[in-house]
Amino acid sequence: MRQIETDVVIIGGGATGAGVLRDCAQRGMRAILVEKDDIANGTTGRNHGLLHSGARYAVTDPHSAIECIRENQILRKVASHCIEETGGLFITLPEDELSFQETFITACTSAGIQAEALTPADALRIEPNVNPGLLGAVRVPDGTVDPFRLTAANILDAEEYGGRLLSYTKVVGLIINNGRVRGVHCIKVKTGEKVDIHAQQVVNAAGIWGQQIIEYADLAIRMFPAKGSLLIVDYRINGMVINRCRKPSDADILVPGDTISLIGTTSEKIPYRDIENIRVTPDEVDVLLAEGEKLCPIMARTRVLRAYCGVRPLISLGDDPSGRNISRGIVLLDHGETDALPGLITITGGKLMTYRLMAEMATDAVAKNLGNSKPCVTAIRPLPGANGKHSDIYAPQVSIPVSGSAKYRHGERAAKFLANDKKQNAVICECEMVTRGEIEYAVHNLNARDLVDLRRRTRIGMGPCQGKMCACRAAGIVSEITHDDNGKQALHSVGEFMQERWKGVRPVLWGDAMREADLSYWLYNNLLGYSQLEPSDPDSHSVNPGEAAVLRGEESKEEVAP
Amino acid sequence: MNYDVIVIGGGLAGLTGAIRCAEAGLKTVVISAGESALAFASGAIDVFGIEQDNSFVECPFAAIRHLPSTHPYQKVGAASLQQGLTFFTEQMAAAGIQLSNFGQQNHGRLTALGAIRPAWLSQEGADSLPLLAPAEGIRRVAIINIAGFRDFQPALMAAGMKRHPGFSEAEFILADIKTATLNINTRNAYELRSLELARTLKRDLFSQPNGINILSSALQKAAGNADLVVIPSVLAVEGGNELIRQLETLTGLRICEVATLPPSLPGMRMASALKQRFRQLGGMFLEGDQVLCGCFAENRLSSVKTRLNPDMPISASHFILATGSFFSQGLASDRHHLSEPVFGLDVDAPDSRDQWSDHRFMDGKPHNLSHFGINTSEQLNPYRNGQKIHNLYCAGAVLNGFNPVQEASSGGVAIGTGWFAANRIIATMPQAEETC
Repeated sequence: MRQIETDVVIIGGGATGAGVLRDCAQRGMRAILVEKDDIANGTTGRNHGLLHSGARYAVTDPHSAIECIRENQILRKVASHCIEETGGLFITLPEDELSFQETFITACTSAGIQAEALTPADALRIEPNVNPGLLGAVRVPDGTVDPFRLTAANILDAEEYGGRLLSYTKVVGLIINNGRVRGVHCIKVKTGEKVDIHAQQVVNAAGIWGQQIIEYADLAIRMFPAKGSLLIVDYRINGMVINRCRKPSDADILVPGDTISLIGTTSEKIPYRDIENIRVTPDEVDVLLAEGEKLCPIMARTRVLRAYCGVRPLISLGDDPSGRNISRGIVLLDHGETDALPGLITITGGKLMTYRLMAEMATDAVAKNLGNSKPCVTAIRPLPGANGKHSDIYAPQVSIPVSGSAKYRHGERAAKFLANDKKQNAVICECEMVTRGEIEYAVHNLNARDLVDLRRRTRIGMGPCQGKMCACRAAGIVSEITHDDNGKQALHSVGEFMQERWKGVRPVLWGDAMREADLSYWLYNNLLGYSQLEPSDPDSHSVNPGEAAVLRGEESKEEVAP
Repeated sequence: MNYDVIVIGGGLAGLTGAIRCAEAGLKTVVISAGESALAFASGAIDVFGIEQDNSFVECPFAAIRHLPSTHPYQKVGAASLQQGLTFFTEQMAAAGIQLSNFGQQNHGRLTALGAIRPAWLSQEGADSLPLLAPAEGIRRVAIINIAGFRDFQPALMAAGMKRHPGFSEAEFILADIKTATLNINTRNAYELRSLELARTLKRDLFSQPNGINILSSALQKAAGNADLVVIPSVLAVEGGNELIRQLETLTGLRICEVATLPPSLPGMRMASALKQRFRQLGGMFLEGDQVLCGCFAENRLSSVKTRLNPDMPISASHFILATGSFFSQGLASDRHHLSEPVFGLDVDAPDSRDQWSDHRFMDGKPHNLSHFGINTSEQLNPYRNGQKIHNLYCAGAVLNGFNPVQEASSGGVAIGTGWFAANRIIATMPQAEETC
């Protein structure tokens, strides 16, 4: 068994875990992040991608509102390439109370959030697709944030400071000695290899999956998963974030992002045992469309590209199986103080928006326990890609949409792959303008291991064709540059990638999405014959080592499930 | 305007029916909205290749006897299906494409991911393998790409072939032919699609007297002494099969071209041959127009209106609807219903979206939606508001009751039903010349 020695182990590769890794590494601590899948695979990558101004919480939760506007201002500076400063509108529709507007503006102002009332005519001028029946609108500094890019940039920076990411590594137990947590037992899910990581501090940043970590320590903390579903439409129907000017409710935020817009979210409590098997239901799709059409009527005539859902990690403190004391804010627990189990820290709750603050709080606790007094600099030091110097990247052969997409996604780091080289500049994903160079960069520098990972780093396969035209191309490149098992893994990942795309398409399978899926199915199963490659009888073909290992990983999960 | 027959849809089913009608002397028009699904097809014809348990079928005509009565093959009948396929083979030969059938049983078609799909007829350029023992006599396989061509991945194809027990021990040679070798002169050769590559080769390489020799010696060098040489279908649309035959003669190698992701040149080749044949027989092919609606009276369709000439209805005594599946817009769907968008014909499908498809995208089981389609009588007449339309016939993927992909039956159903519909029409038309 492999043994690794470090100062800090962080569990969970969402934005918070990545932020803790970066913060620890910048303060000079040796740190390793373990993630059972790819980074940003959990709740981080399954929400609105909304850069809250805090306005949404100003009336109901002023504390969260103040946290949001502070982080909003910080992220605009340190993560500028992950952010679009779109601005946001809170609109009042005929069915809403116009009088709420005044309460709303007062609450925003006292939280330090700039809020400006607009006439319906002015609102329509700056956002032509907004419901023309609106009675009023308030402009606030909402924006959008790309969670995949944000997480990848934190990891990249952490690695440049000496931090390490072990993706596809699942924690299967805590190393506890003499009443103290001293590390984690892990298993590499792709190979089945066991790894023990010994550390002085273990940070549980596993979000909803953090309950399993807490159970390894026999502590009585319950998490209450809440499912949220969203829909993506296939182009940007709105330029600004659009909210309803009323108390927060279901499906009432429309967010533009990259090349698309998305509407969400619903909210539904689900049993913990269901967190791995959530899916968007037809009823949720109906609610989201009905509410979305109220914000922007054009949505009724727009193709829905995909649906997806995530799980919010709500936590209940103390011995409270009912969930009445659920906290929606940031929760930091140093289990040495709360449960007499030193060496373990849990950071959970909060939002994508406050990931940096959560990371700072967790790292402060780690630093205190390790006697490290270096200050946190994540609020002032820009992430890689956000130093604003990408205008001088010279790529004469590359068309402007291609180089523009590259700079949009990677900031000044686009210089690493926008080369004067026809092969590198060849566009592989034509929907989202991803070049071969960008794919190679993501594999070599951003820990992308397969096609699904690659999508989170580059947007490959996220456009209208949903990967059917680029999956094989990209798989061929990954196979070539990683010298994988003679194309075997790459071929397997084509199927996984198409299945992953299908998961999001199936709930919205009508109209153009149906046409597109019909073509994909025809191409992959008839023209390319992919299903003839997948053994229907498991005995007729040998299971490859990767699949066997995943199977073992699943089994060990069964053993620890509540 | 008045015709004997109006065929709506210019794909495999529509053109087969249209060619049969034109050949019988009927005044026939095909109205086609644009490129058909053939541009996405392999260029081979499958008839019935896979049973429900995913086992391969060697003799399709024996196997289709056991299909349920709702299957289009049961309406057409095995004899008529075989006649249709023979007719189709003759028509393709007349248009310059030889289709081969190997000993009256299904053979294996190699796909660009190295899978074997059952097929009944293949073009000459696609080397056909014995269905159940595809690796027979093949110990070394060379998979050769044109350097930088994005839509063919030799490593993935080799990995796919190796999953087949017969090829698991074979030696694979993966190689590229450099674009400079082929004199390709273009802005970025790494971004060419199959069709652009074929056009570029025609312009830059095959226009030279020794062009084919340059290619054949490059191929020979790259392939070494392989028993089978696989190349992506990028060399030519028209004349592609002859080119492969010439290369085989020049190199002494056994060469197989495989269809790539769209556009698929062998499929396009078949489409253009069919159109050419139809026109040769005096048929009228209206491309880029679209039928919007029809005029019905007494359970008969009398005329149709098209997008380009909405004020000038086109009438006919008989009609064939061969508009394809969802992708081709022969079938449409909204959030709660499936429909036939041209005439509002009765479609057989549940209204609950959750029942249309399965959670797994491709695991060998068909999605329910693949057998949805228009409900027809034994004679392939559709129903509208429950009433049979006597002079309208449906053919191809727009029909219900079969799983074209899972069964590997798309080609046979298109040809068989197109042929059958045409013969029904011919039988009722006194002026038609009975040639069959």
